[in-house]
Amino acid sequence: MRRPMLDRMADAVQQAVEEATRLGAQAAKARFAQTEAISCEFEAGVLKATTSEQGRALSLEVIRDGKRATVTCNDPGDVPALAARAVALAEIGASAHCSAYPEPSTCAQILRHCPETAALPRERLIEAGRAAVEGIRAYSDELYIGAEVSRSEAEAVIAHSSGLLHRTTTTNWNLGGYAQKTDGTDMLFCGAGRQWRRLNSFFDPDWVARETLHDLRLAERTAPAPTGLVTILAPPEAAAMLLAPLAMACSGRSVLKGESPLRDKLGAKIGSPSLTIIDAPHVDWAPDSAVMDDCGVPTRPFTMVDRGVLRAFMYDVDTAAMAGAKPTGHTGCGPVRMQMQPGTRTSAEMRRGLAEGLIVKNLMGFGQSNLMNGDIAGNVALGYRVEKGETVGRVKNTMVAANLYDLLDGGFEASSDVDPLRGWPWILLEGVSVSSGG
Amino acid sequence: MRDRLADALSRAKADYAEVRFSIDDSTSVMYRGPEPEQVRSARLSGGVVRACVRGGWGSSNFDSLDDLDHHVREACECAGLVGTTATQIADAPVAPPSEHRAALLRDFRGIAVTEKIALVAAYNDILLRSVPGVETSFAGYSEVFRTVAFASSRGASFLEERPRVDLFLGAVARDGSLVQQCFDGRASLQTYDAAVGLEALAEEVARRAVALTKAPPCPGGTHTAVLDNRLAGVFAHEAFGHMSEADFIYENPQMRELMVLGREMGGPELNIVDDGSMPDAQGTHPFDDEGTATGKTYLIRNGLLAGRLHSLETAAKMGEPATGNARAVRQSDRPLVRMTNTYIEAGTATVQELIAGIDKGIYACDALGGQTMMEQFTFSAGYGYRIENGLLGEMVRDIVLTGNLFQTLHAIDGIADDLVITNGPGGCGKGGQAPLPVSFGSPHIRIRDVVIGGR
Repeated sequence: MRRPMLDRMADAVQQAVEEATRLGAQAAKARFAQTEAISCEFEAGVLKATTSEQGRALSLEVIRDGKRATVTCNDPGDVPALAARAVALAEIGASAHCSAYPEPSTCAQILRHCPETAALPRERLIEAGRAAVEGIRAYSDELYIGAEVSRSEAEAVIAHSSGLLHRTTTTNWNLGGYAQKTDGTDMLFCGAGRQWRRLNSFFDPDWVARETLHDLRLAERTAPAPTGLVTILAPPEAAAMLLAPLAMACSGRSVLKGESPLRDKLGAKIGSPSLTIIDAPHVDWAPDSAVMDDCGVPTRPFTMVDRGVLRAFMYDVDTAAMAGAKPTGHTGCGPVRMQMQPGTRTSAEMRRGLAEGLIVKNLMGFGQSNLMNGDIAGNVALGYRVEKGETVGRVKNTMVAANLYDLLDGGFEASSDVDPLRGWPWILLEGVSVSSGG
Repeated sequence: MRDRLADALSRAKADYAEVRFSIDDSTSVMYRGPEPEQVRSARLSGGVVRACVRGGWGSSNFDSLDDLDHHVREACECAGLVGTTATQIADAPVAPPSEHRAALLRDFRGIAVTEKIALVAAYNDILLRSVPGVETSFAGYSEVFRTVAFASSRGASFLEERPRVDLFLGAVARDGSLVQQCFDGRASLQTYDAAVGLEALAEEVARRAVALTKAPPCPGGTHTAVLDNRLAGVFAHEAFGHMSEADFIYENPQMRELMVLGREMGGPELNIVDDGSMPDAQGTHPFDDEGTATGKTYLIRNGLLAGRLHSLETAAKMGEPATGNARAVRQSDRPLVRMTNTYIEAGTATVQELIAGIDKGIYACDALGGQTMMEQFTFSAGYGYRIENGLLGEMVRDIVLTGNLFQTLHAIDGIADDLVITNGPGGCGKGGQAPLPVSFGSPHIRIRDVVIGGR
C-alpha cells in the first residue's frame, strides 16, 4: 500500500541524516512517527466521552567526536535547523561509545498492520464498550462501572548514516472494563482488559464481562489472610509484574554500571530448574513485537535464563560498544516481549495442591520497592485466600514482601496453561512474607 | 494566539467548548555513573479541543494550529455522539483575558547548557566519590518552559508561562549481592538557583545509600509509626488527597454517601488543605486548565470532612463551588480533577513528644512513592529507624506501609508543630497522566497500628 505521508517522511529523515553529517556529525539517526487514534469512555455505566487523537514527532540523534545528543520536534518543516541544533548540542553531549551505527541486515517478517483494526469505526467501539458495561451490570445495578475502547494506527520511518531506511505501519486496539463495588467503607475494584494488533476473536466484550464477574463473585466472601511465610499463586498478568526485576537486572547497562545484583552471575544458577525466561520478539500481532531495535539491529528469540541458569544480558548498540559485547537488538537494554516457559501442572492443579496459600491477582505500590535489588513488596489490591485447594475468600489490608531471587531459587513453579495474549503462565512462589491488619 | 483560539471556538456547536494549546521548550542532562548518559533537547507543541453537548464530552487532540477549525468541529461531533441529557457546568467566575508571564528570579534560559552540564557533573562526582561503597550514581537536570494559551466558550482566555526546573540525585550502593538505592532532589517554578548549592544533599544521598546496605529489613507486622514531614506529606496526598477528588465521587451514589461533607474523618486536631494559590510551590497556577481561579480548599477541618476538589462539571453536578483543580499534564491531555499543593496543617506537639510516647515502633522517613485504590493505600519510606522505649534505634530499610484510609486517619494520635512543604522532582499520576507537578507537606505525625510489609 502506498502511503504518501510515509514517503514524505522518508525523505525528511534521510535529509536530516544527510544534513547532520554535512555539518560534521560522524553518525546520525532520525526517526519520524505519526499516530492517529479514536477512543470512547464509559463512566458510571454510561457513555461519557469520545475522542480523536493525532500526534507526530521527529527525533534526530547525532554522534560527534565521542559525544552524542538527541533533539526532538513535531514540526518537520525545518529539518536543517533541527540538524544544526543536534550537531551543536552533540559537541557538549553525552558519552558515545561507538562512532557509527551497524550496517543494515535482514530482519524477521512479522504481522503488525491489520486493515480491519485500522478501519474500526467509532460506532463499533461504542457498541463493544456498551456490551462490556451491560455484561458487568448483570451482577448488580449498584456497581460503578467503567470501560474504555480504542483503536490506533501508527506509521514510522527510521534512517541512519550507515544506510538503514526502514518503514513500519502498525495497528492496535484496546478493550477494557472495570467495576467498583462499594459497601460502607469497603471498596472492591476488579476488571479486565486486552490489547492486540489484529481484529479477531480476542476483541470480545463478553470476555471482559466474564473475567470481571468471576472476580466479583470470588470476592463476595472475605477471609483472613494467611500470614508469615506463605505460598502465593500469581495469574499471568501478576506473574509478569513480579518478574520485572529480572528484566532490570539482565540489562547490560545495569550490569556494566554495577547496579545489577546479577552482574557476576552469568553462567550461574539463579533459579530452580523449572525457570526459563526468554525474549520472544516475533509474535505476530502482539502489541510489543518488534523486528529491530532503535538502531536497526535485528531482534531475535533470546534466552535470558535457561532452566535456572543465567545465560545472557541484553545490549543496545552503545552499551555493547562500551562492554565489548555484541548488540542483541534490545533498545535501552530491555526485553522486547519477555516470556516464561510453561511448566507441567495446570494452574488449577497447582491451586488444588495448596493446603494454604494466597492468590495475588493485583498488587498496589509494587514499583515503590527496591526492584533493582529484587525486592518485591506491595498491598494485595485483589487477592484470595486458598484453603485445602479451594479459593475461600478475598483478603484485605494485606502486604506481601520478598526478594525475587530468593523465591526463584526456592520453591518455584510455572503452570502449563498460558495466557494466549501475554504468553505468560501462572506462577507459584513459596516463602513470601505476608503481613495483615485483618 | 489567544484571539485565534477564541475565534475558532466561536464556531463551536456545543453547550461548552474549550481549547488549550502549548509549546514546550525543554532540555535535560543525565549522568549515570561516571559519564553523561543523556543530553536531550526538544521543542514540542500540542493542544486539545474539548466540547460538551447535552452532557456528553468529545475531544480532538492535535500538534499544530494549522487546522484548528477542523479540530473544533471534530470535538463537537464527538460530543454529539455521546450526550443524551443536559450539560451541567458550574457558573464559576472565568479567567479574564490576561497574560501571566514567568517571573523567574533566575531564568534558566539565560544559562548555557555547558554550565548546567558542569553543575550536574559536580553533583555526580560527589555522589560517586564522597562516600566509599557507592557503586554508581544518577544525577539529572531537566528544565521545561511551557507557554500555554487557553480559551473557553464561557469567555475565559489566558496565556501563562509555566517554567519548571528539576534536579535529581541518586546513589546506588552495594554490599555483595545486596543493592541499595537512595534518591532525592529539588524542583522549582521560581528559579534556576533551586538546582544550585545542593552539594551537601548529594553527599547525604550517597551516605544514606551506603548506610542502607548495613541496615536490616524492617520487620513486617502492625506497628506504631512516626512519619517524617516528607512521608507524612505523601500520606496526605495518597491516602486522603485522591479520595477528595470529586471525579471519583460525583457519579457514584455509594461514594457520595460515604464522603458526605461533615463526616468525622479523624481527631479534632486534623486539618488537611489543598491550595493551588500558595506561593513557591509546584502545583501553583493562577488558573486551572478550565480557566477557573485556583485557591485554598479545606478538605478536612477539625477532623471533619470539609470540602473536595472539583472541575466545572463535578462542581455543578454536586452543587458545590468549583475549586480550580482541573489539571492536565501533557499538552494534549484532557484535564482531570487533580490536587495542587496538599498538606496537613501543623499541630502542637514536638517531634520528641511524638517519639517519646512509643515503647516499640518505627520512625519512617523520606518517600519512594505511594499509591491508592480509594480506601486502601500504600506508600514506601526511603529509610527508617526502630523506636525502642521512646528512643531512636538502628536504621532499617524496606518499609512499605499500608492501611485503610478511614481507620488510619482516626489512628493519627499526634501531629507535630513542624510543617514542611516538599518541592521535589517527579509528580503525581492519575488516569495515565503523569507526572503532574504537585507539592505536598506535613508536620511529623504519629499513627497507631499501621501495617508494615516486611520480611
